[in-house]
Amino acid sequence: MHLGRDAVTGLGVLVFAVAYWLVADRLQVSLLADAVGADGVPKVLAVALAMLGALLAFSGWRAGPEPASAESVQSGAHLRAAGLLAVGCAYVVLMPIFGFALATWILIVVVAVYAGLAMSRNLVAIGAIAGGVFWFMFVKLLGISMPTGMWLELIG
Amino acid sequence: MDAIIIAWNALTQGWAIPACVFGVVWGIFGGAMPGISPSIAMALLLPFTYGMDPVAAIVMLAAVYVGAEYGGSIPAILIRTPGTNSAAATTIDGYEMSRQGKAGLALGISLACGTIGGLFGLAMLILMTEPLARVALAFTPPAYFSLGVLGLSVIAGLSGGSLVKGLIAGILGFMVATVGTDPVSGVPRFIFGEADLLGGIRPILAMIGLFAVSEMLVQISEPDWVKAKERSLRLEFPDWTLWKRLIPSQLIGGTIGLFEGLTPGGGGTIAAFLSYNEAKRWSKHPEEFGKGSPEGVAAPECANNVVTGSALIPLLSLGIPGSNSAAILLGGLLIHGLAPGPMLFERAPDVVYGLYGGLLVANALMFVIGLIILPPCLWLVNRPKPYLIAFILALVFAGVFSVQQSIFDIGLVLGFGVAGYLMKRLDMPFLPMVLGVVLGPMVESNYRRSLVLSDGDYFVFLQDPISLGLLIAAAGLLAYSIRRERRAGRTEPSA
Amino acid sequence: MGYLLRLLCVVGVLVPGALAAQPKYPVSTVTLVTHSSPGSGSDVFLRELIRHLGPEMGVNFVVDNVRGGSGATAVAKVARGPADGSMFYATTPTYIQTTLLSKPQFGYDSLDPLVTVFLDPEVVFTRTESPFKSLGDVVDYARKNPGKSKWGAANPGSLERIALERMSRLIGTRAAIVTHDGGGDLIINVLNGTLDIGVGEMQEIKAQLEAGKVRLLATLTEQRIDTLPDLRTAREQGVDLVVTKFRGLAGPKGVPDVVAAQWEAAIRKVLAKPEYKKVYDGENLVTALKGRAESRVFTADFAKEVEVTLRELGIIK
Repeated sequence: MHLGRDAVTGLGVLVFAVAYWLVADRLQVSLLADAVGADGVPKVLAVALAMLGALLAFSGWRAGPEPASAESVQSGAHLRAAGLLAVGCAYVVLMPIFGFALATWILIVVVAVYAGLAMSRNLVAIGAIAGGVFWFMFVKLLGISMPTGMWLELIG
Repeated sequence: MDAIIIAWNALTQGWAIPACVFGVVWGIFGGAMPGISPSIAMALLLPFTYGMDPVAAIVMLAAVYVGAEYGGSIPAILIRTPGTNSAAATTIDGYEMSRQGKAGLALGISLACGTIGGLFGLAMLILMTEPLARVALAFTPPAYFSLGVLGLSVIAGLSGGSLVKGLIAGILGFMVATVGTDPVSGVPRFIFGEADLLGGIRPILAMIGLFAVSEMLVQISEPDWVKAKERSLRLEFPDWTLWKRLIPSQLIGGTIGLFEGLTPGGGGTIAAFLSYNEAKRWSKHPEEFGKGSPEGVAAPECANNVVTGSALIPLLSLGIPGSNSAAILLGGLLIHGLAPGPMLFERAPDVVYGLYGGLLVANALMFVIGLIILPPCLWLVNRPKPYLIAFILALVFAGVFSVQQSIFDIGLVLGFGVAGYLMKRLDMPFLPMVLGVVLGPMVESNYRRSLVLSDGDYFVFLQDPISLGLLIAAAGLLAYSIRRERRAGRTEPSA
Repeated sequence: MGYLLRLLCVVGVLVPGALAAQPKYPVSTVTLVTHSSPGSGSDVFLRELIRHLGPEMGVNFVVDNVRGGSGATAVAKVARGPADGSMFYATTPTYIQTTLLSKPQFGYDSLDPLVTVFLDPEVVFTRTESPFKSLGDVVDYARKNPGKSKWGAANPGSLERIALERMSRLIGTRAAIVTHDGGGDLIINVLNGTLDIGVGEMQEIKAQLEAGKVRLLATLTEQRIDTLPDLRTAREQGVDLVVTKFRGLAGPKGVPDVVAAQWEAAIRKVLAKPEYKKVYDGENLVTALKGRAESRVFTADFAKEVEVTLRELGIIK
């Protein structure tokens, strides 16, 4: 069975609404709660979302699957986006280890290459300068203590 | 007349003017960093004001506020990254203008309208403090609830075609806002054991993810860059014909900004979205909104800078900080042994009038500094696209992390980036989601607060005159948007 | 330029510090971590304290505002910090409540109390136009009109909120207890008559009080406040309600006793200085200096009491 995009989206929304309801239903009940309760508004939201999801799914189903138009995105595009996301996740994991300045340097070089720039000495140099500038802006100018990484611990 | 002399003396003696210059530069810089809100930019500087004389200290903090409210719009226009919450509405048409090679004009409009808005807010602060403070006091929980509902009704106008999808996005945003400590009973909700979620998800994280990170994901997924049009590197100001067109939207922005600034918890974000929507409604070219309308930049930019003046009214006249930024200013006053409030005008007139004078100088300076720093910013965003994507991502991560030194926050922003990407691919508008995130807490907590106060009587929302008025306005807005959508649907059945 | 400013500040604190002849403190820079944002309660407390304590101890102090997680993030930072006396956390009841309510990985019990410095008096107030002249009036009205009274507290999980809940149980009536998003909202709702009374710290309503916009009805302390001798306690007015909001310091486990003794001695000296006394009296803070041993007992007792109350109210299981 082929479903339109809207129908699938609607079903997805419906499932999410049910899951959200279930979590809301298990919220701790406090004696300090008001008549509406901590779960009151979330449950209203869940019901409204479920109804809208059903509505979207229904109208999407009635309209049938849309013809594969020229502007529909190929799955390769999603993969490329997922790649950038993976770089972002790697940054999240590695930044505390490498420290802010070095992580920024690596991030800039990696993303620029991923976005289609050829690896070059220039790029590495620009990344290094940028890492330094970012470090100066946030740590020195704004006075925020960014992670220094494990280098200090390794050296000292 | 005396006041002017006092202000002049207060400003010219000591370090008030240099402090003001430094404050504006710092504010613009801080505001332009994604995630660093005006209040955080002020907070970072606050410790240094402890050793200064009171006038210089307060003027510097106020100057940071003015600069930061403006600074947030620079990355909003250039790289689709709202630097501050209240710049989110500017992103819509500002970035669109940028993509059409009109970044210089968008920045010019935002600078000019921001300055005008700031000066208007200041005039209201000086001239109308007494009556306006009474407006601030008249807002009760039911009125706040209705104000939030009025804000949410804007969703209908921002749904871009499909009301059902817009509502879904709005509710999803509201659901995001329910994460964290319950506003009434204090129990944790939807935090799944994460202490980082106890305080809720800050709206700016959702905005940066939905606007900026999703845009990076979309751009990287399309390898053949659409050759950007030859961009102008010059900062441009609107010519007279365009000015005339912008005047109504500025009036709308100014009025809405004035009243939103007065109401604690309201603030620049709601003001910016409401005035964007109203400007669209009253515009002669509503079809251009969302596609790079200059009016869509002027209205919110005027509104969020008016707030820098009007948000100080409850602080100075009542001693009540209406926003986080005002709370920092309150901290600055307290540390110098000055309690703001009705007595401040008698006890420390030099501080009050010095502050007025300082705000005037700050607004003028903001314009001058804008003229100096905008051309290099324009140059920066015209670098090759791979560099741009890499730098924006690094800037976003650093800015987001710096606020709470939380890696978790970067994760959240990435999550919202993915959500934004999916929504774009599914043709679901994400602006309603932003509104839901911003307004959710205000609507829910005041709804429940009102019902606690009325012992469960729902008529409380209709008995309060302000609340009733706002609800009627919301209903009107909704009916208007739906009718317009119907009509649009009839004339172009293909859409 | 911020860097320059900071440098100036450091120099400003260091120079007088170097001149003071004192038994040497083991480290030269001490970081004081607070969960509160600059300009609010704990932050102001720390900054005023170090202004006087820096010269006394010959130490350069840095205040670090680590926000997020209702204080849990700041506690975690200090708990994992060095135990050589170079890092402490500014305590308030918040860190105990957060521990009990959300059970983070590092709770109040992962820190070791160092000193307790002040008690922050909590007061009951109403607007000047209100018919209530004393806490007794409020109680009478609440008893005669169950469900009609409207009382306000700043935050949902706050000590004030819990105090109001206990008050309604103590006088055996039902009152609407409204929580807010902070002190500002609360004061507005008291001033515009939405609420009958509010409960908060003296610091928050100082401006309104000076302008004659609010009236104090009672203080929720054991004894009357020295700076407000005419204000009766709730107990004197027949409501057995005491709220203890303390301010102190706690460090990672394993800070040497010598260091703790140095702190206690230095703070005792600073508290006696007239110029500091003027500052804390102005904020109606009550001195309650407790050394390490006493603070440990005090913190443990306090935590037990809060836990019992939260359990009784059904907030935690």
